[in-house]
Amino acid sequence: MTGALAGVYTREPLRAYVNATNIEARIELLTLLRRGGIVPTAELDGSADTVVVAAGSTVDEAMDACPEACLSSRHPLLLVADSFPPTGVMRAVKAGVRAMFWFSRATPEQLAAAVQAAHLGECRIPQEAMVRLLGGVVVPGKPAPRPASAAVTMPLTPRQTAVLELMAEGHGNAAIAHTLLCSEHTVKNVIYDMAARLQVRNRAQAVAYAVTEGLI
Amino acid sequence: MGEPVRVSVIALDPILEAGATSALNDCPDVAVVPPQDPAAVSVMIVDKMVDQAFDMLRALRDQPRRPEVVIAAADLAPAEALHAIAAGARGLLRRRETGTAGLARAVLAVAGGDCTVPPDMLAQLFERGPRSLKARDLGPWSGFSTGSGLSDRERAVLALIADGRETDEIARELCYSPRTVVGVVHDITHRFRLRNRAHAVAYAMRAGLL
Repeated sequence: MTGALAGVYTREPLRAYVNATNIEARIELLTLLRRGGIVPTAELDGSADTVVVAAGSTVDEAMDACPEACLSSRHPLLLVADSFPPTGVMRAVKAGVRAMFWFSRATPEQLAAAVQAAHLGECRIPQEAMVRLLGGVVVPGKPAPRPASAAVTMPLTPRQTAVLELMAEGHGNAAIAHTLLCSEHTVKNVIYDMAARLQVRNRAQAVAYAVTEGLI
Repeated sequence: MGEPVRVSVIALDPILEAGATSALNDCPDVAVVPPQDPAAVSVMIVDKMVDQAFDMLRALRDQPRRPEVVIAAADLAPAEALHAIAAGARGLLRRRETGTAGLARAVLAVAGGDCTVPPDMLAQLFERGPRSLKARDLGPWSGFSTGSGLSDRERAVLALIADGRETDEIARELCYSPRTVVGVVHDITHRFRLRNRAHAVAYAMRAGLL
């Protein structure tokens, strides 16, 4: 089990140099990496087999946690963060970063796969970050949808998010009810509550807001 | 280690399907299931992102389990990638650049809630800015019959729909008749095969058209 995963993808075990703004995050990452078959290392040896794993609460913090040397060196880079605002993701992409990873989703297998992706120069980005960057850029001259104050303090419930996702794929209430195994009446109630919370007038605006904010 | 990710493989070409299936079976973290079985991830092997491929993608996403979709295409242009993402694909690969382990990693990545695109394309998609991909510079893709972008008029109408406006309000604001507004919306939904206004808004935003 341990270490088996890394071996499937490359012959040599990869090394990871971990830098985190927070000591607990660092310890957790080191543990997860070991369990995923990646060997932690304390030195930047200039080898392309040593992946720099930089962690922070936001992608910007993670970028700032990178040792200066590694952005210009051969070391591949994996950014680990809990929040991926578009400006930060754009900054990282412009700096040549191709691999970013959501800390809360880190399992040994997934983290090891992300380190492998970084090592091989593959691209791996949280889906929410991708959607926000592609769809959330504000059209010049058009104000961004205003986040309602309640929406900022209270995240959507899983059910509301599921309904929004299905709405964004063009499904009507009956189809949504069928997929989520609930009644149409429930779907209507969920949409009604959500519209009030997001302060939107209709389904199209709810979906636009959700895509812009990276909620779906 | 957790349960292996259940993945199905769909290809028009049986040889490619067999190749992808055996490649994925070599990875202990994924388990290939028959196409009719519920899967967390579906891998689509196509040559080009033509209409038929978009129909396959939608059919996959409309399954009850709504699997995440990885597309391994022989050829892939940025505009095609944007449309594929908008239509619900999470992983996009060019086959010639992708080894067997790369395919398995892409499956794991989308199962883990991440996206993957060809690395050179990532910078291209973002640095050009999706909205700079207007109809005129979408390159050689013939895609949907009448082009893959939006006209200025279509974009104006869709932007107002995204802002929560109804047909009458849009007509007043843009000095069109309500019938014209309905016609513009119909053109968009028909051309990109979308179900309704909410679908059109989400699709256009995700494809960087709006």
